[in-house]
Amino acid sequence: MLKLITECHNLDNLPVRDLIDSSGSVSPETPISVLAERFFTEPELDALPLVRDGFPYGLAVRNKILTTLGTRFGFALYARKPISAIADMNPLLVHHDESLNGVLAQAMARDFRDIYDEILVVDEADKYVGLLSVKRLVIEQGNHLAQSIAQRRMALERAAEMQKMNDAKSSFMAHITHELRSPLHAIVGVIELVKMNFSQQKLDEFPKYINLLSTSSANLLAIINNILDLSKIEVGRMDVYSEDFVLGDLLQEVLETCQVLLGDKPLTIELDCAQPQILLSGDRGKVRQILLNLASNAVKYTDRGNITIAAEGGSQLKLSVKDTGIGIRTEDLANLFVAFNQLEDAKTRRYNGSGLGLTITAQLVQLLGGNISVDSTFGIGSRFDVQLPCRQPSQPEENFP
Amino acid sequence: MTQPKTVLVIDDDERHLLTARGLIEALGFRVETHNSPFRSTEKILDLKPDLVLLDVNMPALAGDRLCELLRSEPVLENTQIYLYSSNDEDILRQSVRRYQADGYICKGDIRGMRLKLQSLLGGST
Repeated sequence: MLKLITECHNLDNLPVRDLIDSSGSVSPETPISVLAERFFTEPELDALPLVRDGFPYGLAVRNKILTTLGTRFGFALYARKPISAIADMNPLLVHHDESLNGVLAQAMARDFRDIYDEILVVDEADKYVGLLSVKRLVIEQGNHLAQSIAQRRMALERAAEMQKMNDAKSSFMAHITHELRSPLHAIVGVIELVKMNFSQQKLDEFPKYINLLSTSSANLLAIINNILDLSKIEVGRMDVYSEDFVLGDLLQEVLETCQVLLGDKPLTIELDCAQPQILLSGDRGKVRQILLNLASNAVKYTDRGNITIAAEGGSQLKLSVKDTGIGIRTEDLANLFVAFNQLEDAKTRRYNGSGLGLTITAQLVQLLGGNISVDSTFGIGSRFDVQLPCRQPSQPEENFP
Repeated sequence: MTQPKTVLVIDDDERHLLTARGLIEALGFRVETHNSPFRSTEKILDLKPDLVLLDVNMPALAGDRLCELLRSEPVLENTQIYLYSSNDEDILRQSVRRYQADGYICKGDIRGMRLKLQSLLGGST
């Protein structure tokens, strides 16, 4: 049987030998009536080669033989004669090493009545090895073309995707390199000043230096933690714990951290929680991180006005952080939670940080089985909403994932 | 006695202005600082420093682009402009070429900075 060629080669290099059908042949002396009988009884038989002593002599094509016999007096005239009398005694012969494309080109160059006639294939010694069906060659060529087009398109798409990812990663690397080094360089510089001044017993600047060392190290630590958190989430190593906690205490903690971050900005932060004493059960650490990330972003991106941190406990824990900050452009909203996707060009950014905060926040929300959404108007402010599945310790566990 | 050479440091990060001032003053040079790319041209024209240390990552206008703008000022032809950054050195090297800076100094490399400034502006006075 014919075997289907599935591997993709260049069609100009693909030899026809794999497509050959060498199932049968007849001698040129065979009476036409015998052959006609075979064509009648074997409807699948399209053509038979005429072969003597292993060498090809001609080709008997089903349609042509039966048409000749079907004409007036055809059978009477030809039935007893050998098949060589009416067969094609000058059929197309090709070598078994010739390529599919080359053979098809020769086949198609024939007279239009012969175009679909089978092709005889010979080996190095010009001995007959089998027949090629033009229909099959055409189908095979079509398959290969379709396959190579699809492969080419896939390869192009993959390359474009890789390029995009590479670009994002290298710009992220450039950015993170700067963000990691900048606070460290400040630390290195201040330590050098401390050493220089200490050797001269000039201690009056020391409180300022120590303050700088402390804020710069905290800054660096936060960035390193963000990177480590994200890689932990990305390899699926982040575990979820459950513990009981009082909602109001958690809010207070977040508020206090934000007050420190606030510095001397003319900005007020309000808590909005109807039941601060409600006891909840969940991963307190991650809930705190989610809320703190959103709230500290609000502080970072708001120069004046107010920030409202709202929380409502129940079967769902609803958190929201609303600010009167710079807001986010509509076209940037879609990429807000995507890692390695800085909204601002790193070189001209107004705000420091790893740029991973919102990505981590969204990943944590997902890890806890909740969802996060954002509503923002550029220049007016933003509002982030988070819903997390939650339960109160006294209630059954059905609402907890 | 000759006038000490003047170095102007332009950086939006006050921490880096503070450390640069302390480290460079200790070399015996006069240090002026400016914390934004805005009005920096005026500051430079006004001060005519011998050397400018220019931070790269700054809001609104990156230092390397600012360098290119400063280079188009004929008056500043003899002012040396060095990029002063925590960025990757390969990127800094490219920026130096592209924006016609005189060179770069890596922020964390204190020893390198001292050697560079001394060789550019002469030993400490």
